[in-house]
Amino acid sequence: MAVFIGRKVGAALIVVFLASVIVFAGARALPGDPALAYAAEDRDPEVLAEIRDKYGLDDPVPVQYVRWVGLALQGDLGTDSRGIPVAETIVTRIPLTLELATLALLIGALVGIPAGVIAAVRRGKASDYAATTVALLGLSVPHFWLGLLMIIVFAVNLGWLPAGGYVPFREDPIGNLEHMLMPAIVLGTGLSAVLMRQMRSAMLTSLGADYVRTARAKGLSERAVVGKHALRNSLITVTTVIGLQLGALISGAVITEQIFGIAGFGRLTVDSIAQRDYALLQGVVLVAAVGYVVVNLLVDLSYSLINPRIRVAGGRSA
Amino acid sequence: MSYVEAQPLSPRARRRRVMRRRFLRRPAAVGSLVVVVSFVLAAVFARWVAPHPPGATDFDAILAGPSREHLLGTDELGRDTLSRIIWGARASIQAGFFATMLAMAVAVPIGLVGGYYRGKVDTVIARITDVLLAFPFLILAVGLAAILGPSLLNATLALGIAAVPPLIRISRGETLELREEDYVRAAVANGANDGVILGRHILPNMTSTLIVQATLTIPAAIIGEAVLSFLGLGVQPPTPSWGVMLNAAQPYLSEAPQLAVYPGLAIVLAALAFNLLGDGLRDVLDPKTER
Amino acid sequence: MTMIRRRGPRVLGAALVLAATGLLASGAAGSVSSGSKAGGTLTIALAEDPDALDPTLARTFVGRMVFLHMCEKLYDLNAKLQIVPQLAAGMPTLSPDKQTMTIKIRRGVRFNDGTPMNAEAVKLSLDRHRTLPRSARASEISPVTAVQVAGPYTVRLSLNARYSPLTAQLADRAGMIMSPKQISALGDRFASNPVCVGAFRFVSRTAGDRIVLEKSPFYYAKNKVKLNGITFRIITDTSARAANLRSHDVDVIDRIASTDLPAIQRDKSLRVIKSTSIGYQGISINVGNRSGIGKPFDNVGTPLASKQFIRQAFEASLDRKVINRVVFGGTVVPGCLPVPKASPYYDASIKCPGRSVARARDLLRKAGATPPVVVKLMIGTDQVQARLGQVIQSMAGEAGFKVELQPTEFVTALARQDRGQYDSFAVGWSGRVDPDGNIYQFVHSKGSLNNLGWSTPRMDLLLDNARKATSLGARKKLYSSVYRILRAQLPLIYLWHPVNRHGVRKTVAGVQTYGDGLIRAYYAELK
Repeated sequence: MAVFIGRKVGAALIVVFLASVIVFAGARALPGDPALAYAAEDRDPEVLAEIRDKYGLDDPVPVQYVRWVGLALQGDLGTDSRGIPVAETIVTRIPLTLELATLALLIGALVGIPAGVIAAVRRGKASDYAATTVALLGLSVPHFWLGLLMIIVFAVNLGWLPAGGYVPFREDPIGNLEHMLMPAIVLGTGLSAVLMRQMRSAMLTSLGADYVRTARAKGLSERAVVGKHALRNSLITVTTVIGLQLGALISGAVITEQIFGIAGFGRLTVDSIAQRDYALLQGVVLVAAVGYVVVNLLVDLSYSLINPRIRVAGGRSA
Repeated sequence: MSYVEAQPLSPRARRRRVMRRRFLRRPAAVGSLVVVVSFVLAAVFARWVAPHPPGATDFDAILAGPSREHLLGTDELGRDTLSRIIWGARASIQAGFFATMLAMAVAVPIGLVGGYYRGKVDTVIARITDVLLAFPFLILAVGLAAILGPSLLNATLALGIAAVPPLIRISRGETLELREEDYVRAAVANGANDGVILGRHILPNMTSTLIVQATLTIPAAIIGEAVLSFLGLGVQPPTPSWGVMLNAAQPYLSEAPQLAVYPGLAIVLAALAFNLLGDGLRDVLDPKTER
Repeated sequence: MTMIRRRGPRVLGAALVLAATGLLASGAAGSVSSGSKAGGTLTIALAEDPDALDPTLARTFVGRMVFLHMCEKLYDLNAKLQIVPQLAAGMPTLSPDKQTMTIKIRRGVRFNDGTPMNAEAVKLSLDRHRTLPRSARASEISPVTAVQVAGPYTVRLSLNARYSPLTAQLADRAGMIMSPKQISALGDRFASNPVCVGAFRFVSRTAGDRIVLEKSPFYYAKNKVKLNGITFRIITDTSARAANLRSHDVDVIDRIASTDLPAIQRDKSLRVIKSTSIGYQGISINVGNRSGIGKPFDNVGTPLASKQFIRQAFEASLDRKVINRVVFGGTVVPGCLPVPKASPYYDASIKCPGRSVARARDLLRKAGATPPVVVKLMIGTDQVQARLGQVIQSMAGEAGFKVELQPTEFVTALARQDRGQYDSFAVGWSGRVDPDGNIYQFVHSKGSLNNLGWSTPRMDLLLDNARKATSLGARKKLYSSVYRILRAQLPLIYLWHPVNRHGVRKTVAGVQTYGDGLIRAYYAELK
């Protein structure tokens, strides 16, 4: 057991290391003088030279990498071109994206999972077709377009919800939810569609499984069969799906934050690339990659804990 | 009586006929096939299908409503919206197909090798897949665009790379299962070399799953291209693309919302058609799924 | 079986905990108030995120807006764009040889940390602007060689050459005075907690999100200050900014895009304040920048670079009025000079030509160029730039030019421009009160931003003399000659002057903007 966890963690560490190298090299590959990120409108060549000197931008790349990793392990991700510590910016902005992602997950799950169950239970009937079609639509609609439309209708024309921005929960819980509602819906739509389909397919498989047939034969009520056995097993499959959808969630968060003007972590990633702010970019993408690996690791571990077959045989992932 | 034939059908041909019948019996699948084919044809023959050249500006008729001349009106520079949507289909179809083909070409061999040989090779492949997965496609695309400059080619590349990890998992999974099949074990026992086994026995039996997956990857790539062009990382104006059109429509949301509606609808229609088609194909080709 | 039965609820429970954590954690983020209703806090939405809030290092336009409210300077502009004293007690006096400037400092002024402002403090700040490595102010006040304290409230600046633009420079960041106590405490990291003289003082900043200021108890005119605080929010997307104003989530917005203007004008709860910018926008042409700024000029050989007739033909193919109408909805001011009409240095006798495709084709023939003449035009990546590029492409196309658009992200584009890796670039300049600030560094042979790779000895002479001359009439004449050379040679095709429009809620009084385009809300109040 410990060996197993150790192996998984070791693998995760390798991934993080590789990711950090890619991030670092990628940032260096960006064209444009990095010193310019610190220079904005006026660009005096002498000043640029001084900037390069101060930040060691002319040192050999491996040296810069080691220096960066060393500091990063101590929690110091450097300062960005505005003189603000990168770690501080990241720590301040992650909660916004976390909240957005969590709300989106909730909405996606609250809509998708019941829809999937109903569709599976009422397979072949009108409600199944309706739910399946809606799910298909959810997969086919570009969610940034949905966001634009929602802004037109609900913010600009009806004035029911704010067009963007953010208010911390602690300050104004209602306002916070008002600001987050549309972005969360936009982000959660695609997720609910995927969840619905996975849930439906998993439920159908479980409902046809032997032990369920046995339960039915034993005379358990349909509700008990669905509720107790099929539902729980399916939830496990769904958790795995959520783990797989993380990448899509992060990508989606980036665009959603852009459209709704939320200063979250997703947008930070894109902004830092656009601004050639090396320090910020490296810190941000590294944290994103690490976060992703960690969550995946947790999902992975819990999944294989439940399903011992996977652990031993390396079986077939969902 | 009906199955006494002049020439008996081979098992494969018989299976194909069965599949065709099952497919044709599903209206949604047939409909989506029609839509997909129409899109592809419109894209390929855009020059003849579109009523106006996509770049023909008319500064005296900007943001015009629908008319006989311009069925869907004009955009912010007086260009015909309908023609631009038809031409825009080219970028979407190109990105959709090529990204998917690229992803398959990379993912399938890797999945085959990993699933067949297992052990250390498989572990390395799994790690590489994990690393790739740690970078969401948008970050990849932004990075590529920043390094190589934004273009449809680079966007297609980014989308293709992002589509690789899930396809590796699927082809690997399929390989793992298929290698246990009797005919494969027989071939191994007979001393056939690995290449033959992979190429003659395993791969052909994966094709139906792969076709389904490809058809389902395309709509994601189409939407992905729209996202990247919307963010300025893909097709560059003045080349029309649905994402570019949506980006240009953004400032006009309150004044001329129709500029945002039409390209968005086009994306939804195309993606929906491919998704339905993929679902229909899966029902028909993959008897394992209980539907 | 039993293991599986317990998994479901545990998974659900975990999800709920995660959600709760997310919500609570989000509460940990964010700082002071964001709304505008409670306690008199004004919320202003800026179009970009300022760079470092350190007057010596700052380079962004939006940064100047924040500084206006928390970092006063020796001189300032009034509504007529005339220079008036702010931290100085009066206008500066010059010695007869014009190379010594004496400035009297206002008395009874305290920095926002309570320490007093005197001549020593002024000297410290000016020296820091002159000598700090990476200072962005050094080139702005380069002729100043020494700053002396001539009395507790008098400073004397020594110049190595006559330099008329100096007072104008001291009416911008080069004249901002910082607290010596804070400089010695933070040094290079002054931007993390800047302290100057201001109606408001710095509280906190979240990168890319907001900057929070609160009323300063030490301000010398604090009874004029009605607000309790100002929060600057960063909303880069123009439609998002407009939407936030219309939904009253912010009180003031910076720069309304032309496409958002009609909706804001129709909104009875909002008003628009505007002023024509003192800057310009146009097309910069790479004539002789082959290997970077500061290197010797060497004609790059493109059609536009090789013959001035071709540049003139290109200009003749463009219709400034159509650009204004189609790209900007008629909200900018077409122009062909580096200064706008409102500038005292404008020359009304120079008329901007209208479009003439015939004339353009004629000029091309004269230059011996056969269509299609290729022009690579670098533009930005936003929607307005896309429209502009396509309109130029279409118009120039009719005259025989084949314009290839190169949408490039801004920082990269600036880098390319500096290195000479471009043919032409649609770019502008935010503008300075003194025309020298709009012209010298771009077209003088020693200009620090001469990425055109172009200059002429006559132009150099005119610009140098304009710096030394002190009377308005003399300088006007010199600049008129400068304009004529620019119009003939066209290394820069000036196309329009932006009109800075800011949106304000009618419940806010006292918000103004002058020609420099900066939002001034220090004495604003909420009704």
